[in-house]
Amino acid sequence: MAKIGGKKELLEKFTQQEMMCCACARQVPDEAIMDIGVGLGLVAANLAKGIYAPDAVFMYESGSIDAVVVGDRLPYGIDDSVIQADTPCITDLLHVLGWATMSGRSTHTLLGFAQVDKFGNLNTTCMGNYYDPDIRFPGSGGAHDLGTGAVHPILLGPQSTRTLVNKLDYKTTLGYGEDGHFRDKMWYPGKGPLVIVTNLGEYEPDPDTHEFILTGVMPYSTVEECVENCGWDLKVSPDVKEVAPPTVEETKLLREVLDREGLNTGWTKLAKK
Amino acid sequence: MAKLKLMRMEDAVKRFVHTRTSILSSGFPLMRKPQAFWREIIRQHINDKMDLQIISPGMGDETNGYMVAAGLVESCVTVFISQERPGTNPNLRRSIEKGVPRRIRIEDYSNLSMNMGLVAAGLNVPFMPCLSGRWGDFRKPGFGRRFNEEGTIPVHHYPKDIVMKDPFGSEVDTALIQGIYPDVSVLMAQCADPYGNALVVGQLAYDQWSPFAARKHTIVVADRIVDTAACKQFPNLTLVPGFAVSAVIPWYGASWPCNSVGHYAEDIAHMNETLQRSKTQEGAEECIRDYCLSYKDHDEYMEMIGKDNMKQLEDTHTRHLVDPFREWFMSDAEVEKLMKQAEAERAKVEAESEAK
Repeated sequence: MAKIGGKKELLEKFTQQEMMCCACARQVPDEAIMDIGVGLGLVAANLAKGIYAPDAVFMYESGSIDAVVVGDRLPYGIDDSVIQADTPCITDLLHVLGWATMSGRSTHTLLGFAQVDKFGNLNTTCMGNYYDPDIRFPGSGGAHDLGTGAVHPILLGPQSTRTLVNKLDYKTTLGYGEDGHFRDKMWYPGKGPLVIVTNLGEYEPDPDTHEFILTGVMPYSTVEECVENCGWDLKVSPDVKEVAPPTVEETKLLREVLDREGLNTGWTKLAKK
Repeated sequence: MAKLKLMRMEDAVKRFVHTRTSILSSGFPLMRKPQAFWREIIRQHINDKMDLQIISPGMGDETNGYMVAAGLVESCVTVFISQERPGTNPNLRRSIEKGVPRRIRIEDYSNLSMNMGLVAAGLNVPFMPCLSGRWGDFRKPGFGRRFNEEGTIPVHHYPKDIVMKDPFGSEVDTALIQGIYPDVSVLMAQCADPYGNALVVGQLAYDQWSPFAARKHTIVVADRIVDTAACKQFPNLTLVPGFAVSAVIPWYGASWPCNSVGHYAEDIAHMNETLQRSKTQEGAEECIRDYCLSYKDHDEYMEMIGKDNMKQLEDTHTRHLVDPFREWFMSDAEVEKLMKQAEAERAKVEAESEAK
């Protein structure tokens, strides 16, 4: 296998979070109808709309459909006033998560995680015992519903052996289930996660087993780092490739429009180094 | 003739919130939450052991956090304990992780499944089928209220892993979501008329159904009281009909620091400040003193928010959403006159009822 990745010097030019946003944004096709969440996923979705998917329709589960963000900042949440001012259709949660998502009209979504297992099942609820947790996270919100119904969920989160785990502390959101085939028996419009994007690599499901395998390495990372920082016995695709670093266009949009203060991607700290 | 439903904040909390009352909040983490109502509960019960149950799509907001930090909450039914960008509420984390000041019981749902539970309550059926909830740990046993012929009874342990195969013959199976039955549902509305008709604009989140889930009382907290003509002009925007409402509380700025689109934007700086200060129990108690116990009336409440600060929040991109209603806003003097009339009517009815 040719040597891929390992270009640590690139981390002086962009942050790992910027790389994750770009890797996610490149997965979004122009015809996407997307359920949007908060945090890094929101930045990634807007990056996609700015470059790869200008005609994508964004839905926010609290009710805004095809919302345009007004003002000079991204929303602080999916119920922020800046996505309720220039929106042709505002409705309720049952329409977005019940009708649009569970009928298969929602083609893509971006879901963050605290833990993910090898079949793409997510935990965003707690670490430790649910009834007496070591750390309590925010919870599902709409993630469980979006993971169930959205056709192609894209998963993103930080990678370590504590986050890519063999067994979830709490099963919040369905990927492909405990045996990789839970969806086969269900009447779900969702096909299961398309890809897991972490700060170290990209992982795609094996078409038969639905076990996630390493298919892409971030340019500053290595196959070995991806394997070492994975809690399950990670398989590596024979076609594993190096993910292209952020382009000039992507970096410009991220830093000049979407995350000027670096709250999501941390790029301003990079500039100070 | 329609009954006047106007009621003062203090009076409404006295009448409708008691030990072990289960209260449902409208809105979403940043949006249309009846924060001033929760503040009033804290003001009246800061030294009481209330054992309240809070049912809320987002338990992470400022005042729900204070309710937990003040030890007033026994349990909550929710999907999310973060206020989105400002972050996870440390008061909730401290209670759930460390039992300080007391460990609340928490029952998790997803947004769709919890909404379906409230729809079931609204439609007076025991459960609703739902594609969500078929997989995962939401199926751990929950607590809450069991539906029966006489209404609902509280239970402490009920199974949630209930699946039904389509009785009409297809092979599809769905999760059954048990009804979620609050005693009291509190709706934050941009406008309401004096008779309880509540106008809501912007995202509705759970609120197409949440006001109808209440077993005992639906209460409206309104930023502005409007003439009924406004409801008649835009009847499709009247979310709740007056007859279903037990009280309308006029309180401009009640949702602060959450938004009330059309009136004011979310106050993120305040959320950041209070979440930061709430990282210790002592800090949370100081916040409760500063932001719940510090004002005597609505004027002082507005001073607490800060006049300049409020002006900035009112300069919101969503102003046009409330513009159509502005011509029907009632003045403070008009509202006060009707308030006194409503109080007199209520006193008369109550006196008659006592005489019987």
